[in-house]
Amino acid sequence: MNFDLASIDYILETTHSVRRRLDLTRPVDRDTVRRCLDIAVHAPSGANRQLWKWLVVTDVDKMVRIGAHYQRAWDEYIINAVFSAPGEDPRATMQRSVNSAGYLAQHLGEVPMMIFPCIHGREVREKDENPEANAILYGSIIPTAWSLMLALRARGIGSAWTTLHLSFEKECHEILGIPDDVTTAALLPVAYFTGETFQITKRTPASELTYWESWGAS
Amino acid sequence: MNFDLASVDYILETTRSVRKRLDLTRPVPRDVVERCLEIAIQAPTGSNQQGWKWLIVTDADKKAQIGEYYKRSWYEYAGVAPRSAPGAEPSAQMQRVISSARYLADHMADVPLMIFPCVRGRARDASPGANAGLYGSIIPAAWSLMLALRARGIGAAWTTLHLSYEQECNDILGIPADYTTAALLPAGYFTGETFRKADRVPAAQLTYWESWGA
Repeated sequence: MNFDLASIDYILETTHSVRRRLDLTRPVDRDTVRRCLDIAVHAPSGANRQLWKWLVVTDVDKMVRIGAHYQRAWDEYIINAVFSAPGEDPRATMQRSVNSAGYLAQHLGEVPMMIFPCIHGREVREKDENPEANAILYGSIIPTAWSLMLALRARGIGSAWTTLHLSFEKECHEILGIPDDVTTAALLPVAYFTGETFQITKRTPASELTYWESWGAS
Repeated sequence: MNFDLASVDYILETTRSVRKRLDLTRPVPRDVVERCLEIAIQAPTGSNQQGWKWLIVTDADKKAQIGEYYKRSWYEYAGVAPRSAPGAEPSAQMQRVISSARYLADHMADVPLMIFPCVRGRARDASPGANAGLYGSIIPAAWSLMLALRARGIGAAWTTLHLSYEQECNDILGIPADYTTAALLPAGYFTGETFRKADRVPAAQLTYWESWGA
């Protein structure tokens, strides 16, 4: 099949975490989400085991309760957080991140939909034990979840990659009925985005972050 | 900007781990990889930290050493990994996966490129969410990289087996102790024209609405 390379680059370069531009008033079409999930599960997984499950929540009561845990985690986090993107005035970055992420924390319970990408299995939390196990576990769920965000964004639906609710993982899993042997990789708040499109964002160029042949060599 | 939705869906649905179809004889131009990396780092990271580094290896001697550890890890793993229900014959699809993965283990040292997506930080004494935050700040970009490469005719495979010998591989590559390597992506032009969609359990059977199990 022929395909348009520019379209692919465009979506890869303009899919960002959307927070203030999530339309909290417009319900997300379920069939569109189903289609995006069917696309997303074509991503690879360790040994092709496809141990993923998807939990999609639109129930207001559940979302408000999850949102309250998220807000609490944010309040604790922001006290200690150091935000600074390389090459930028830390204060400016912090202000923008705090504005945007703080807004999300305040309104998370109001989003039209939350999606939890889940995987059977638990991470290893012992100090530096078996680094491969966690790489396999997260490497078997994050690619498909990122594909989901890309497919949604290409249909006008924004989302944000968040993990703060995991500070209250046990409480959130209870609300959602998620079993103990399952890991939640992220919480994706999902909504149509307002405005037309997104800019390519300012980044430290990859050429400054890429080593060839050996660490530290350009 | 207008874009073609079908093209986006097509690449998302047909980007697979490529193993037997990696062209081991054709070098991958550096500028193509660099362009794909610039695209990939538009992916989000936790708190916008962008703590990533990308290590790319074409050096035959280093690839041979890494390849040796990868191969060793595969042959250790192949003997013990659960491949299907106890007592059951592996499915035809799983047999293909095993055959393909063994091929990659035997030829890892010969791939044109090895790409190591790395992120600053270790999940030491991990609090809840620490690992999810760490891997969530490198794997989206690494998967974007595979998608961008595939759209340019370059295949890659998502692998982690070398991490059984993480310390040894870090020594070979000079990766510092405070970085985490998320994967090893062997990359090369793929042979043949395209890929068909993989067989998958439909997402509808794996999706719960409102509550687990519902």
